[in-house]
Amino acid sequence: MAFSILVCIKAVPDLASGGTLTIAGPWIDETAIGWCMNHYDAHALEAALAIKDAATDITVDALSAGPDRVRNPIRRAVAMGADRGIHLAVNPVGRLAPATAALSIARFAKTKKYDLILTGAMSEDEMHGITGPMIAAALDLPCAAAAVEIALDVPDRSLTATCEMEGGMAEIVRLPCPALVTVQTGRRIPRYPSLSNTIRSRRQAIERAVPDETANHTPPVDRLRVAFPQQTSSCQVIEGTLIEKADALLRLFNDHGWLK
Amino acid sequence: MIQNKCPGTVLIVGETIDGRLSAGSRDLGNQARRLAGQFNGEPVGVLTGHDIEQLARSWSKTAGMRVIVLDHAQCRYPNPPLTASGVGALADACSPLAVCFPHNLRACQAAATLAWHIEAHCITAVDSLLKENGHFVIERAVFGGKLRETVSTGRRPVVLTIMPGLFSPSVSLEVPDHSPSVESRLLADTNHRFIPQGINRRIDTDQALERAQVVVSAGRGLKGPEHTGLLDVAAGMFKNAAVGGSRGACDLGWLPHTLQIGETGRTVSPALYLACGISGAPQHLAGMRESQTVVAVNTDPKAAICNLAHYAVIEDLTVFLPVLRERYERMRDKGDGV
Repeated sequence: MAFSILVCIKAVPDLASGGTLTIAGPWIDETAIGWCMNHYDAHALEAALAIKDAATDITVDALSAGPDRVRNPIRRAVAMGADRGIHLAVNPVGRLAPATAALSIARFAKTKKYDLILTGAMSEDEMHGITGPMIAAALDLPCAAAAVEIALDVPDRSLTATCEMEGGMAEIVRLPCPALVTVQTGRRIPRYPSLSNTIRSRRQAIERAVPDETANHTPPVDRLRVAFPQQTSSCQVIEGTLIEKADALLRLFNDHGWLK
Repeated sequence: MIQNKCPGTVLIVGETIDGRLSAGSRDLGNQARRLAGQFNGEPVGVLTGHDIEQLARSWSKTAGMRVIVLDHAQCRYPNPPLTASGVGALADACSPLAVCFPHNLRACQAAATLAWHIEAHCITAVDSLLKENGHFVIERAVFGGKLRETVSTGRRPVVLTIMPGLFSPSVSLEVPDHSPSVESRLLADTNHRFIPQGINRRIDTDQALERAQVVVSAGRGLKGPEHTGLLDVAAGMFKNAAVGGSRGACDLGWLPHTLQIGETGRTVSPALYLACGISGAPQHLAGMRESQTVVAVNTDPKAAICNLAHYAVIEDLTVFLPVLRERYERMRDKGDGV
């Protein structure tokens, strides 16, 4: 029986390859930095591909909502093994708010009747952790957050997700499909693109979907500004040569009686 | 009962884990009166769980607020859909100014679901809150703590998840003399599509991290698994030390996940926390912020960890830790101080 999975991917500023953040207006300078796939979403995609590897007749669509810069992460998703890449061409003034993104994606997904929707547990840049649950709320789907493992029972059309809680505990929950699960990092390292999928990702067109932008949900919050954290005066930066710094720390440790 | 037309209410939503208060909920309770004060409102606690009246009484007494228990057999562990529907019914009844959850990913799910249904703004990981001209001005960390974002909303209610230690020290103030009331309600069986199956508890082989006087901890600044030995060598200088790591270092397989310190891992409060190559994402700080002395070794003087640290050494840990050990040995050989 066919089973279809949608993985939602966000393009985030690429800091892993040495990019640095500069502030422009109320947000960062988005033209001064490269964009890559949100790390948490890469784990969601890996979870979907692992499900696909273990069964037959499973399709994985990778979707990203936003301006043209989201096309690179979509292409990367296809290179990792997604069957189709979909660009939901939302072009907001300013950043896409979680509720707006959730509504656009939910409206798109509703027409496709996916059995399972996966998102990252949060985004590396804005760190809201709410877009996935809001998509679930908009589609009235059962939802499990921060899953580190997903086991799918295709004949039963249900899944069990192992979800992280505080203090190293995890709860196992069962959800009937269709369902939405947000994926936490950790258990599996996202795969590198294979050569054959990389070639496919270059040849295969990314589908462009135009969002239904009729009535919106709530208007977004006012984003006033971003700033680098103020250094508190209570942090004493130890200066000097390497040896002087080491000796200063050792004096501190010794004075407290911590050293052997 | 919360009466209709009580527009000054701030709902403080706590969660229980198998009959005990979650760490975030304890902290949120301690902040409840100050938090509600920021909104010029009165806190009303909402505690989800099963058979928790006794616990609710003690939470109510410590926090100095009325508490409504939302009881359901499927709430022995935090249950986001049931919490969202139960709190949603309370919010419909009393039009609160704000609904505050502790910050963790499950509470974010409950907050997002609630906010969606009541068409409220949902702002997570709040670590600063002010009221200006009738608007709430809220600060939160973005980019793993590299930047701080300030947002504002005038909509009510606003749904928030609150970082621990929003108000420092996080102790309740002005707790009234009388014992506030505790009222229990059975949650309706509305959700059959989120079915708890059981709990996995991490088996910690020991409590060495929790008991250690000194924790030497590393993040992505470790650069690779080949450098983990440096942590053991550094820990070896101290009388009672253990090695831990950030989620980043553990996810990359450089350190085992059992050593992960942070919101979803272990919580430590040693005399000395030596944070090596750790940027200081809020989720990591949640697991070590009670440490007495924090020393950061980091190449980036703007790293968020430096805001919490008492001392910082701006160096690459792979260069600095060997020098530190070498100077330690020289000091020991001389048999005196540095």
